[in-house]
Amino acid sequence: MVMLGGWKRLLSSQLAMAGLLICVVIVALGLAAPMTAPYDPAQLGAGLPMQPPSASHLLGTDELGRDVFSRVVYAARIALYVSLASTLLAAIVGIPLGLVSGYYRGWVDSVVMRVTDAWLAFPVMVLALGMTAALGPGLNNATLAIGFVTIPLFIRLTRGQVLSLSQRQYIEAARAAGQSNTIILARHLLPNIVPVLIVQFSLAAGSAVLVETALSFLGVGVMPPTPSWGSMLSSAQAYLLMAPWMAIAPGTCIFLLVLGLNLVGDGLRDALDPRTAR
Amino acid sequence: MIENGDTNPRQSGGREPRIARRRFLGALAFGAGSLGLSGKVPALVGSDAQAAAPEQGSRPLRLSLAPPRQGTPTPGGSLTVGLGEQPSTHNPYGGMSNRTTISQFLESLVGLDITTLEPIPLLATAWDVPDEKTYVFTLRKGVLFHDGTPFNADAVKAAFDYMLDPEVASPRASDFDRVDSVEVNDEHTVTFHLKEPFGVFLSTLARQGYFVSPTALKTWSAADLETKPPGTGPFKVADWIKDDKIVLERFEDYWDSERPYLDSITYRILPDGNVKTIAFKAGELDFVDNLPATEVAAIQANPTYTFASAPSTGYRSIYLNTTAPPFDNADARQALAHLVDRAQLIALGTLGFGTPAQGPLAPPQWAFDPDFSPYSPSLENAKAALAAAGTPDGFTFTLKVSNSPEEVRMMEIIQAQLAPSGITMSLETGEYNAIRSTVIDGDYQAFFAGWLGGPDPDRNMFDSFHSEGWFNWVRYKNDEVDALLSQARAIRDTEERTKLYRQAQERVAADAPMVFLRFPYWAVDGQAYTGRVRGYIPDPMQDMLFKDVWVEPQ
Amino acid sequence: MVRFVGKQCLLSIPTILLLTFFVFAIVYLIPGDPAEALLGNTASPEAIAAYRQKMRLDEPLLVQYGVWLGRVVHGDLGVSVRTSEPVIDAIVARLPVTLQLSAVALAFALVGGVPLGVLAATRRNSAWDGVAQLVGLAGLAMPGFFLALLLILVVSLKYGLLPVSGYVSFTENPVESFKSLLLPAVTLGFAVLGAITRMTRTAMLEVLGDNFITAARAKGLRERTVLVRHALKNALIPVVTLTGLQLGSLLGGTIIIEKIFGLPGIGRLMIDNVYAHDFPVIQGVLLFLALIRLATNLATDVLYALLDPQVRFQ
Repeated sequence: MVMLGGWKRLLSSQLAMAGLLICVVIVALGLAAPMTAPYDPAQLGAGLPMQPPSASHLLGTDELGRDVFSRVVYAARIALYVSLASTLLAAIVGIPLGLVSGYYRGWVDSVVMRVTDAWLAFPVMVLALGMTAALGPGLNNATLAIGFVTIPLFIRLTRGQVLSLSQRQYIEAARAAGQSNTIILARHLLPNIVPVLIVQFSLAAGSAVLVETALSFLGVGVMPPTPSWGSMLSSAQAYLLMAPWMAIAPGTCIFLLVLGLNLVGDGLRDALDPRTAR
Repeated sequence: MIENGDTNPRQSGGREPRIARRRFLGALAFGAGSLGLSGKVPALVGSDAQAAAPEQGSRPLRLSLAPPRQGTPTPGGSLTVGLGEQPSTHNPYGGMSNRTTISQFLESLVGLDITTLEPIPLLATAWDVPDEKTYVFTLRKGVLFHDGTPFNADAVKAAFDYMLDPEVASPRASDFDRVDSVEVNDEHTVTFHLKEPFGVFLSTLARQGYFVSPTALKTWSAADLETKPPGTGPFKVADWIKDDKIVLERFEDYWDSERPYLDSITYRILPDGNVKTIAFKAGELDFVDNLPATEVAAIQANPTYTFASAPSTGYRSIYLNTTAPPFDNADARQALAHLVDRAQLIALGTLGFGTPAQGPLAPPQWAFDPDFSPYSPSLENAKAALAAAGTPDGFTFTLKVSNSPEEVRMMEIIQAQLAPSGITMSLETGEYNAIRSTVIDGDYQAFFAGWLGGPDPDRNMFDSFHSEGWFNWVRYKNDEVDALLSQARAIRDTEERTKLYRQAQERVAADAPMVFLRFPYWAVDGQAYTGRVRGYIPDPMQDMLFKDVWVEPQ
Repeated sequence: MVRFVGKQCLLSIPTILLLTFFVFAIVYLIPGDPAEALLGNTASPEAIAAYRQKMRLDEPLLVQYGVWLGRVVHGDLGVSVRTSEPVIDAIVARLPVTLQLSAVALAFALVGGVPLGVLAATRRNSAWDGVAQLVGLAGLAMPGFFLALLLILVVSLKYGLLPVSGYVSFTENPVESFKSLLLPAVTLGFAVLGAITRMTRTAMLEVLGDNFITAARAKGLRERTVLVRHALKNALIPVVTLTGLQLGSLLGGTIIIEKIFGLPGIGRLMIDNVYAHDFPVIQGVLLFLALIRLATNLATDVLYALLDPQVRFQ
């Protein structure tokens, strides 16, 4: 049915495939970091400080003589972890709220929607920063903060989908057949909105990467010695002219991962909804 | 960040009753140390970069105070200075945190000679000390405050009455609470009566005894006094846009009709060290202070810049809270001291700038012991200490550090050095003052900071390691050390004192309430300015005085 | 129209209440005593006790919230721990910088994005289309702080074309002011530029496929007239909406941009005080930015209703 044609369209979209490829490469490099990284990312003096890229240091070394390639690879893990964990957190909280809100309507819906409106009024970066200010820095707090600011996106999307699906005949039929609300939600509604949620997931994960690296760039996200693309960029700032590779390597990584996740998300969306495919 | 010890940290918060005690910060003893520094760190002050060719071989570091590339001063022009820390207030009777701007527009009765740090005439042209408790000052004539009020004996009395008024509750009051009364003899003569002999009275006057127009003190709003108090200095405050810039302009009626040469000074407030350095290199600033060592090489290599620095009397160290786990255990503290590789820290973190520190006594001080080296990097010793502490596999702790990129970088090095022992150091960063206040409250495990020190070893020992010291943030208490330090400040014989301080240093290092890391250079770690800046003489007190400075016409 | 606006305003009242509650509640995330967080730990025990009583911190959360909200409604956002400056004054003082920066950024995004999107849609699969798609994607994925560093590296450090830091107010020197804002505004506006380009292209494509365009063409109208009068006018409706909604992310972006370029705006106020743990200011900025965002969203709705009469009858 829809899905099959969708996969075909997805596979035929060059951009989506490019995005998928980027993601796969970054995930593979990150997961296999202990093998793909030639040096310990925290090892001081793995080479001379601030050496340009060479055969022994693919992306050069930083101001403490650490191998930039190894750090970039280990930082990929962190970026992936934070983005997946925070998006998952947002999905786990947001989807049930959206389901309940859209299905039962009434006052539950009103309350959830007003809360969501208020939530969404805060610019993402500002709210995430406010949360980390209160929670303190660190990997887990950053994940929590990013997850928190992503929740309303899932609520709103899920609710919208449920609202439009609820009018469909097969749902009416299930209701008429006396099936319980829980079964209708779990068996009929949820499976039908999963594809849309996957799209949302991949886009939200991309945005989570941007927020995490931004927080780490500001020094309130992932803290040293855990390498993060954001904090690498931040320390590269002082050496822009002397050692531009220190900034270009992690910056390009952020760009590529976010691009990849967005391309995959866009590709999936087009694949699922032929009308928007262009 | 660096503590200069100018203000009791408690009292600047206005929380506790004040105790009278202020010693003169004193001079940085130039060239006194026998630092075997390699030629890669020329560290000349006030010389041009071209002249600062690397000196080969090992020789004592000498500070040249010869005036830089002189010439005929050209009046006019303006100077743009990058300021890392915004002053908390301009009101000299408030809790001033940053003197850099204040010293351009406020003056005291006496100044300090830049080489000897002896008192020299400023607003007073002469003084007489008939007895230990009486100081008679002859005031300079024809001096006006920025608001047109004449500076005279009444103004002096008004300022001190204001400062000592319990209603005003000035944090400065304790600096002068040995002043019994100020007596106006005539228009230009004033007598200070002290309650008891106070050997450092003149120096305290120079550092803390600023004058603000009595008219302004009476009629101005607190907000205006905070931003633009009218003093007698060569410049006056034109504008202060918070977090952006402070603009000073020439005071036309300054008593020295030739000075200042500059029309204006703009301080750009750039707390982000990276931004400040980039702006300097991009030519947007004429002058930067607190230049990190990592930038020094690049700055020195560029002939258009002049670099100024000198060995400091202070040290950089990790403060360990000796009253909270895990560092309430001396073995745990010693483990850290055994693990830190100071040479690597200096080689990587500050590119060779500075010397390894093993104790609080600094190279330029007479009590300094060049052979004192209780700790050398040893994983074995650290493991033994960890086992003795009951944590053979290491432990985790959090270190607080300001979010300055240089300091975070230093701590990244330490993290890597501790890791092999199983000790994990997490970082908590933030604006220095916010972190510092939690440290003062004892709400911390470890903390990285600097201490500016002073010429007298007492400055480096008593405040931080005596159980009654103001800056004893490590909450260290050792009766033996207390006794040694109290004894040492009570006597005058240098040799005897040297012995006592070295003894105390040994105890302190063994107990390791701090992990001493590095004797830095002046400020963090120096200042730099562009070729158009002329006539600048670095002030050992790091006030960055611009009274004699002019700029080369472009 | 008035009724529509009134209804929208009424609808946003509960949102505003909830939003203020979020802001109020954020200090409860801080480990320890919220009174100490709001007064700073240099505050004396007496001051903290007095504050607890004044803000009724020993009573239930909702009572505390009521007290807090009552003060906020009267413009009292508290006092900065660090500078003792009233928070509202600090925000107002820094507002012009952020507004100018955002305005230039938005102008850049619109002036660049709309024509590029139109070109891409009218010349599909041309080089312009390629550029537009590239810009659209890059806008999504390019982190502002990376773009900022690249621009500083190339434009300022290598070629010395534009200043890297600082702010000159418009009234002081319009030319210098514009120069000082150009790099930060381009960086800030880049993401919006991407979004506008994408949206303009999509909307134009959709409109161009509609019957009325075919009809207009059939009437023999000139292509230019068709494009501008008929197609663009309709395609701009979603673009306007998008632009309005992008204002929020623009404001969020000012935090990093103002920090990197040393601009004394709202974003810098936020980050400096995050570092300083100055929670009254953090709360104030959070509240202020959320309200601005809400207001721009509301204005966007109204504008949308004006542009597209169908909406009003819903």
